[in-house]
Amino acid sequence: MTGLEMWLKRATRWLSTDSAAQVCAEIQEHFAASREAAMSAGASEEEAERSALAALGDAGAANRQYRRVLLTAREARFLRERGWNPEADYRRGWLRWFVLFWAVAATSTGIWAWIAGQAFLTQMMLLTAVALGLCGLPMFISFFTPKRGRIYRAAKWTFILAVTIPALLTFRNPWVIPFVLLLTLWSEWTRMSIRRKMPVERWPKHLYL
Amino acid sequence: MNFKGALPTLILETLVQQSCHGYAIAQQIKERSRGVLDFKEGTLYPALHKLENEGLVESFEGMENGRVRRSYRITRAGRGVLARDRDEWRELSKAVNAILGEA
Repeated sequence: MTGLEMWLKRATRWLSTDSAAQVCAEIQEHFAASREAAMSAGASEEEAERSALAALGDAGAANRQYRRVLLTAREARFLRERGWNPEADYRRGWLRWFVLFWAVAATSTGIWAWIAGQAFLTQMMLLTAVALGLCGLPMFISFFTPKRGRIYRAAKWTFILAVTIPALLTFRNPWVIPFVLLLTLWSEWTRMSIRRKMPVERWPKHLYL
Repeated sequence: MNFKGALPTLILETLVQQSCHGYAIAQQIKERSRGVLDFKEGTLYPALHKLENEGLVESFEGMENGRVRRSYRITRAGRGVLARDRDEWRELSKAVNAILGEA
């Protein structure tokens, strides 16, 4: 294994296949240009390769920086496994009306429960209505632009926190809630990282929500 | 000299003169700083990818000496950011000079 190959192996660790291929191509191109420049300045082939490799610097440091800007293997797998296209699903008319029907039903039941003095049922029904509303809103209004996506995600997180914080304080076995919340946070963190690394025009639709 | 935070600005400044490939960007920064800003070239590309993700530069493939090379050019948004960065740097250096001048 040559010095450059070893450098590339370290610099591309944990990167996705596509990202690693991109890094290899650009560094090999850079290395060749650097070596040619050194040789035309009078260095021997061996000296030129050594100086070109030294100029690249620490492969570990480059790897840390590459992982901040290019998709890692884990993020690429996340994108592959969640290949959901909400825009295509939301175009189905029956799904819109199904969600709308249950959102209206939950709101009506909540109002009835409030009139009947059933506080717990009122809370549950109104939370269900808001959750269904949040799920159904992108079926009626397009959120697939960066600005609208940010508004939608802010509303989604406000709702998640508004539900989980009181639930943590109320339920007897609260360990289930942090566990679910951690899974959600992990998934959201990965999505946020992917959003930062990909140009907006390449975002799959589910990244907007 | 450590200038990690200034690297994106220096890349934009280099590209505002002309579009060029990664190696040429690295060489121009070194030459224009008379060797003072001698950075590790492996860290140049992550900075370029970040600028590209933010829409401040765009890349394109071109032929040079019979070889396909990826080159970069600054975008209109990149020019705006560069103008802002220049102003901020002038303010900062003026302030630091004022303090160091007093010592």
